[in-house]
Amino acid sequence: MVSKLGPGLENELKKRICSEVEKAVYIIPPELKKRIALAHDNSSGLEKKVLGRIIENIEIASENKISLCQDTGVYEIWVDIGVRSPYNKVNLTRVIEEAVASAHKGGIMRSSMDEIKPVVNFSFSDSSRLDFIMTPRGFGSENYTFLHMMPPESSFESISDRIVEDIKSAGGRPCPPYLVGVGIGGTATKAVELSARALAEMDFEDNSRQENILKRLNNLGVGAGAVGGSHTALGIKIKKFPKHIAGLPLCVRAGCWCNRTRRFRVE
Amino acid sequence: MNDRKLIFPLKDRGVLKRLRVFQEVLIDGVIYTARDRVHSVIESSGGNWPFDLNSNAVYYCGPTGSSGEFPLGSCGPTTSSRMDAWAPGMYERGLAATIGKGPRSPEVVKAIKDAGAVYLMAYGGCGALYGSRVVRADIAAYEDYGPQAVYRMQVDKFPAVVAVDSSGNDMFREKR
Repeated sequence: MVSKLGPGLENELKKRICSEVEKAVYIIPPELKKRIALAHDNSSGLEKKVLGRIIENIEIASENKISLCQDTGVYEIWVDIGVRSPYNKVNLTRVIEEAVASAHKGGIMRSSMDEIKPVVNFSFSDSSRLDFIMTPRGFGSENYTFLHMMPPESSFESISDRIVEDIKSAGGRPCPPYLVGVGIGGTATKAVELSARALAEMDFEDNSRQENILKRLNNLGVGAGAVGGSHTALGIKIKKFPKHIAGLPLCVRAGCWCNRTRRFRVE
Repeated sequence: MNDRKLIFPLKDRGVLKRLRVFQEVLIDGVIYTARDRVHSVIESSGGNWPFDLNSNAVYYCGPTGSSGEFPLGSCGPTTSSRMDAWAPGMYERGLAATIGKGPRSPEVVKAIKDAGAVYLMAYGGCGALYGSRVVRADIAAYEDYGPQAVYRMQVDKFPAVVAVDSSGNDMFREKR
């Protein structure tokens, strides 16, 4: 397919990305919002009060287009590029960087970096579109990212122990109730990337292994706002890559309750 | 666990003695923001804060700008433990309260007890909620630090939880 791509189309793409970047900081994914409401219904005392304040915050943010959290973070973005998309001839790195920088001038975002720059990961597929997944990573939780080079024959039990220990060691700092992203396999680099991608794809999938870890995390008693309670974590997602016979990289990443993510498609 | 109003600057520090851990307070009046850089700069050059420590609260916060009807945008708390190195010295010199999120070190808890002061936990990640409680905001110092400047924030019904009280009770320690 031959497409003429004028500056008009490029600008349109930039505007779209810029608007999605802004929306990602004041609109929370609907499924996460439901989970928070459910946790609120099932809690009591001060923990219930914390969850009530969180719900109030979600409403104020979306009504007034104010960022849910003042830390609008570092943007981690994945783009799957369809080889038949008219955009496959565009310098997407430049367009995305300019779009994110321009969103930071709009007033909703905080300039939290010494120079505004997103972390962008590309992949290719046979489609004719661009698929974006983005997540602004606030550093209250990003600072609680743990990488371990585990023995290759590690049992799922020992991996679970590691995850629970890491989250426990965060000591209630990364704004619970948490979402936990885990990357396993590949290289150290890959495991770290997968853990961020897991948070970006948080889907509360019904999976007994993940549910077991979630149960153990909630038994830690940290609770929403770390005030004590049974809602330490709302969800966990594990993403895997094939592993080397001599080692098993494991990355555990704490995400705050405000796990901002956004997906969109450009046809 | 009755809601209690707390007004800064304090007229009488005696009010701090009556606060207990786990209690939610609603703050009215003026609080000052400061985070890592301002702490580092002021505390390494004599500790001259642009407000009276004895009656005031330091809020660990770096707000977004205003994009709508409120004076600031999102302005929730940042992680307090990053300021743990400077807090004991400031409490020793009379600081009444700090506001932030997450637990404090044992050294900070001791300094709070010795000074008869408090540490208040603001709700983490609730920047929009706090933005809606700011009535007025201006920069008191270090304008060139951007979001790390010292903001003088006038607030109305700003909710926080007493996390370390003047007797040294620590909400976080009691729960672990």
